[in-house]
This record gives sequence, C-alpha cells and structure tokens, in this order.
Amino acid sequence: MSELDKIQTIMVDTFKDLADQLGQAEPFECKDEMILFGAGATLDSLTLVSLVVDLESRISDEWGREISLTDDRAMTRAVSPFDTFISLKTYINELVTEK
Amino acid sequence: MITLTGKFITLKPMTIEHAEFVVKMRNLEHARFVNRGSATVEQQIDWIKSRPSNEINWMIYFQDQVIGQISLYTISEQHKTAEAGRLMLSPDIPKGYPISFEAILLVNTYAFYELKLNKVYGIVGSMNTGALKLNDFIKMKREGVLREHFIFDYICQDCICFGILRDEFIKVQEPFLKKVINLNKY
Repeated sequence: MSELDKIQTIMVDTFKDLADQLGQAEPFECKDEMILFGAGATLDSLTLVSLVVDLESRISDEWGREISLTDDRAMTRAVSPFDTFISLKTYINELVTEK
Repeated sequence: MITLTGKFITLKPMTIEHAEFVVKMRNLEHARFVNRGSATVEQQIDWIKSRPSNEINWMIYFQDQVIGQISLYTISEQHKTAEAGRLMLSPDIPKGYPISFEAILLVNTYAFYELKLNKVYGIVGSMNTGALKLNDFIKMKREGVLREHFIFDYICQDCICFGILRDEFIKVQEPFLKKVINLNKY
C-alpha cells in the first residue's frame, strides 16, 4: 500500500468516526474537492479541531513520530491544508514522506 | 458592560433577554458535558441577575444572530488570574467560520491586555473529549489532573487543568489563533 493510500484510509476512517461522534445520519463523502473550512465548508470550527487532533494522533501512531498539522508551516502556505480533502491529504503526504 | 468585536463575531454581555436561548442550548444533547445549570428560564434569569462582579458572561453573535456563549469568571485582581470557559455553541452554527477560535481570542485578548491578567485557566472533565481537544488545539498547557473531581453519569471523573500565562499568550496562542482565523477565505 502506498503512503497516499494509507493516508486516504486514515482520513476516511477519521471522517467516519467524526460523523459517528456528531450523530450524523449521513457520512462525510470524502471526495477530493470536499471543502473543509471556509466558504461552502463541511465543518464548523469545533469539528475541525476534532478532525485535526484525531488525524495528528493516528498519523503520528502510524509513522511512529510526532506530526503536527497546525505548525507555522501549515499556517503560512499559499494553499491552506484545510481548504479541501485533497489539500489536506497532499500536505500530510509531504509531512510523512520528508526525511 | 463590555462588547468585544472581531472579524466574524461579536461578544455582547449576557442579559436576561438571553435566558431562554441559554436554557434551550444547555439542555441539548451536545451540551451534556456542561454543568446542568438552570432548568427553567426563570431560574436562568435569577442566575444572570445574581452574577458576581468578578465574572463576565458574553453571548456570541454572528451576523446579528445569537449562536452561543462564553465566559471569563473567578477573576482575581489579587492573583491576576481568571477562569475561561462555559463555551457553548448552538448545533446549527454556520460551517466554515472560525467562530470558537475567534471567541477565545477575543476573551483572552481582553483578559491579558485590558484586565492585565497574568494567567487564564480552565478545568475540563476527562469525559469531555471535545473540550480536551479544543484546549490542546489552542495551545493551552496541561498543568495537572484533579483526581475524581467531577461526578458525571454517576461515575467519578478526573479533571484536567489547563492554563496559559500572559507571555505564552502573546508569543504562542495569540499569533496561532490569528493565523487559524486568517485561514478562512470568507
């Protein structure tokens, strides 16, 4: 399984758990273009917190090192990792594959 | 009475006009971890009227609509400390806006720059995973555990103590929250 496939699985699982926690009848669709935060977004601010904290924990466990999704690097990118599902997935891939 | 205005939200002092909204919000399932508080609007009016001078309770407004509440309480002039909390948001708050982050930034900015406090702290039950995640996310420091400090669902629960000092707010939390708020493309 490639790193991107692993990340995709972790993200889909995390969104599934998030939907359960929120008591949502419908799961999140987890399409690449799903907007996470900003105009037309899927998440409110508290749900975004849950997503980020849960993802950090799962990714850190999977790759055996501390990974932060909200450090300065994430916050100052031209394209925010939290714009869409694919931008977050791409950012996580950068973090886990860098030496 | 202090009103605080941000980019997306305004915090207005809680008055008896808000009693009905607060009771309704506190009795929703998603607010189950918040202390039960007033069961009726009349009790909530009494609670609002009896607030001591060392606390401020704000209602969170988004585009002229009330959507939640947040407080700064146990304000100590002697120790230069206060507890921040009682953050509750209506379940139908608009998505995509950094509402909770801006509410916390406004309250802590007021606490550290206007009241010139040295520390803001909070106590969160270990069962309240949402609040634990939020406090970690906004760079509050975990300071310790109060063992079996709350009873929730008839079970004793530990409480986690969070705190942030003035210097940490200025150097870490304030810039972080501003960056998160500015991620928003609205």
